[in-house]
Amino acid sequence: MSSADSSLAASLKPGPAEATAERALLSEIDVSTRRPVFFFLCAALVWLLAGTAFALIASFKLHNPAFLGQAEWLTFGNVRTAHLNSVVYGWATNAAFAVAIWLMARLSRAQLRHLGILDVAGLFWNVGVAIGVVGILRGDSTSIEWLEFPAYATPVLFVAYALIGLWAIITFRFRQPGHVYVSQWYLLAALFWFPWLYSIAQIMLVFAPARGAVQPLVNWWFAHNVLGLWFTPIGLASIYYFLPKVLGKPIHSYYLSALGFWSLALFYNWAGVHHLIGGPEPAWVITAGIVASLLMVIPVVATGINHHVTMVGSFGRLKDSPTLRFIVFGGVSYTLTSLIGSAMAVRSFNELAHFTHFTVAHAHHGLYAFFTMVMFGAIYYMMPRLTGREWPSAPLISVHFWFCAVGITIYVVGLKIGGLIQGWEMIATTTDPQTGEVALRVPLFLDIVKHTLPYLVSRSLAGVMITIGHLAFAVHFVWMLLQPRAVAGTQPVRLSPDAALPASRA
Amino acid sequence: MGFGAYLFVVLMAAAVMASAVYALYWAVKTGQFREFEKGATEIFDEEEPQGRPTDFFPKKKGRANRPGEPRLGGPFDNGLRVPSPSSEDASPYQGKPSA
Repeated sequence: MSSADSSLAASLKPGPAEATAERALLSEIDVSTRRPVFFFLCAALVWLLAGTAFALIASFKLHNPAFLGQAEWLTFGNVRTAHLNSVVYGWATNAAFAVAIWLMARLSRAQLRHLGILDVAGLFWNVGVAIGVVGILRGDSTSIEWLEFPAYATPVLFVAYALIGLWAIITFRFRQPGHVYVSQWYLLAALFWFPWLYSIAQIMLVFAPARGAVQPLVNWWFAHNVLGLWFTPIGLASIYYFLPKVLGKPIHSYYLSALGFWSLALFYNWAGVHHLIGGPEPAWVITAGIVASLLMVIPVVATGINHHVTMVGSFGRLKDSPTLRFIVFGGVSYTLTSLIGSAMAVRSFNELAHFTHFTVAHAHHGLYAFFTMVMFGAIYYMMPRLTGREWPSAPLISVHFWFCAVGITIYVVGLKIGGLIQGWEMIATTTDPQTGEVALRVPLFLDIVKHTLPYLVSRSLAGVMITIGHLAFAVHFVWMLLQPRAVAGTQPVRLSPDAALPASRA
Repeated sequence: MGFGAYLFVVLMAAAVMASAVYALYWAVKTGQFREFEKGATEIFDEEEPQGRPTDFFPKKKGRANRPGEPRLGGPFDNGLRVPSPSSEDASPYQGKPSA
């Protein structure tokens, strides 16, 4: 009997895993993950398109406030919030689940068990996100950054997540014994950290709110940790797996990967407070956050060295591997955005960049240029192994990559310049020639807005480019699902290179 | 925020810290920090061996296979073919480079 068929009760029984799964073939493992991974990927794609639409509307409104002004439900406050939540909890988290499930199965070297748990979890998660996004557009937002879903949506999300956490524990329990690859460390940690973050934030901000200065502390502890202890580990797990897999050579220094993981776990949790520098919070809390943000240079440099040195001598492969292009772009972006993030925590620079477009650009640098691009790379690798088919069109892959890569680069660079201009003008000072007294210039806010308009327009242009890339990806994804299977039968067929090709592939 | 909520927050924080300490202890006890070179090669096996690159752009339709190119539809390999010993020496770049 396949151990994948054992009952849930047996899987949850404490004690050693007596019926450890036989070491399965990778192709068998991939086939076993098909149903839940497809579901999460399809859901992720739908939310990607919805989030992109909301993003474009919000971006246009910033330099053309009358755009869609008649629609109450599309006011900037609603649509920007709907964008954030649909890309974070819709696109990014669904993609994270899909990649985590596929990687966990492969790294555990056993076929997937208890798919029903994941089916229910996926349904609950996406129903919860849909309720949340509709609630935001209705005006029921909590107005807490990154936690805007109305309170009636979050219990549904929590049920979904509890099921996924349960599945992860069972999968790890029945893995092949032996070494736990670094990617699996990151995945398990991410799956463990996220429910802790989400439950604490919901309790302390929504259901039994804390008072006063504690609220922003909890808010930014949560919001920053969602990036650093949920999305970053999933992204790094993906890079640590796909980069050596595509190249066919191991990661440069496995020792550095262990250092990177444990130092991330130690330092990241403290760093979120850097969002409140200059705010009404205890000075020691702010200082602890700044110190932790600077200490984050350690895991970032360790990971960066690992990824970039692994690529040395293999840059030619960027021409012929779609996965590698996206993964390398994401890896470079991770290093850049993390180091810039550490610099942003320094008080003198924070004084310039805080409350400006620079922070928005930085958030997109992390969640899009790093995480989303890595997810795209992962999907390009996974889908052929799940479907048994090649991607139908190389030009569509190129369109996707170049429009998204150039688009996000224009977005980040333009908006960061705009943010710096905003910051310089807001803190600009004048010196009285007679008394020598230095005072803030206090420009008109509207003048500052006018000076940043070109960069807001460049953001919309970048958004259009990214939208084209996403549409190319969506069309290609659906085309791949709908094209006829090239090899007959549902199981992978092993052929020797000298065997005659099936007629459909001749 | 009531006492119950504070208690839950504190207990969760303690549980997370205890889990982190236990994870580190478990890692040391099970030898996860030994033989780093071997650990780095865990993701390779006989199906997808070290030294064999994976993932290529799909081949253009109708283009004939070039000499030495794998026969199954193009350079793409998704585990559907068993590589012959000679293919491990073949150039990893099989198809026309894309833009």
